[in-house]
Amino acid sequence: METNNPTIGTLITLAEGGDEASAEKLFTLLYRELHRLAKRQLARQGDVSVSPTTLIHEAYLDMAGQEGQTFPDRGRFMAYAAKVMRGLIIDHVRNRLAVKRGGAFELTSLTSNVGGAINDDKELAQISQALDELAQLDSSLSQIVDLKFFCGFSFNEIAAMLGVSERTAQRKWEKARIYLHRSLRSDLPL
Amino acid sequence: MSKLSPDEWRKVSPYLDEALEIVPEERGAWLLSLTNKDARLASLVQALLDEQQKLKQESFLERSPRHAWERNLLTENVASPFHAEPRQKR
Repeated sequence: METNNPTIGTLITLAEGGDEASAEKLFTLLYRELHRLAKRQLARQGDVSVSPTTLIHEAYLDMAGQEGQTFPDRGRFMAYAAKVMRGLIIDHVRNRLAVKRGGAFELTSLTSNVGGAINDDKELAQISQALDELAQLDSSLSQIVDLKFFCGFSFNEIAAMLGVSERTAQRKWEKARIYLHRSLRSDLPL
Repeated sequence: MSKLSPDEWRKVSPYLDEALEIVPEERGAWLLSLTNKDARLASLVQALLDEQQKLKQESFLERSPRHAWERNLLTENVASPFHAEPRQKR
């Protein structure tokens, strides 16, 4: 039988303990909230872009305000919300690819090296897939990429959120980049 | 360049942590010491460190993807959760 409206704090604790159903519920809940906030911001601001960083901050304030003292600490919440934000971004990218290709969407290996800029929709989706693999090996590395690359937080902010030194956050970022590069460009000579 | 298997990553990961904490000038001696213990592992760590320097120079993943959406949105009429719908042309 399903639990009635578990709190975000409960869901995060259960998800951290490996409960798949709670992890899924948490993802859906945060996904809806971030999407709702994005729409609300756009309605207010007209044609101005909404920043993922602002949205995550706003989601935290809104949800923490509703839940009160049982709400998890900011760092744990941000780490989950950043992963959900990636999901939202990738869904958007997949929809766009589906529109371009008449509905067909397939992840394949890269055939060219595009240097530092990641502008291609397909490459973004590949990064997300490689990040899911990395999360299985070391979730603290994938968290940094979600927060920095997908949400635009600085090392300083990330370090404060996760309770680590800035140097540690940077080292984890460097490691994650190596892993992702190997995953994305495995068919190319170094 | 090959993708690292989960086992390879788990094995190399603590050495990468250690190497990234050492200033580049002192890495040579550290790697030499590792080579004496496990030459194959040292060679992989060296390759990954070289790759890391290259990625740093390339600014790999330094640019947030939303810059791409902003540009694309000017030409595409696809709904984004982060942007207002482009105005329909009649």
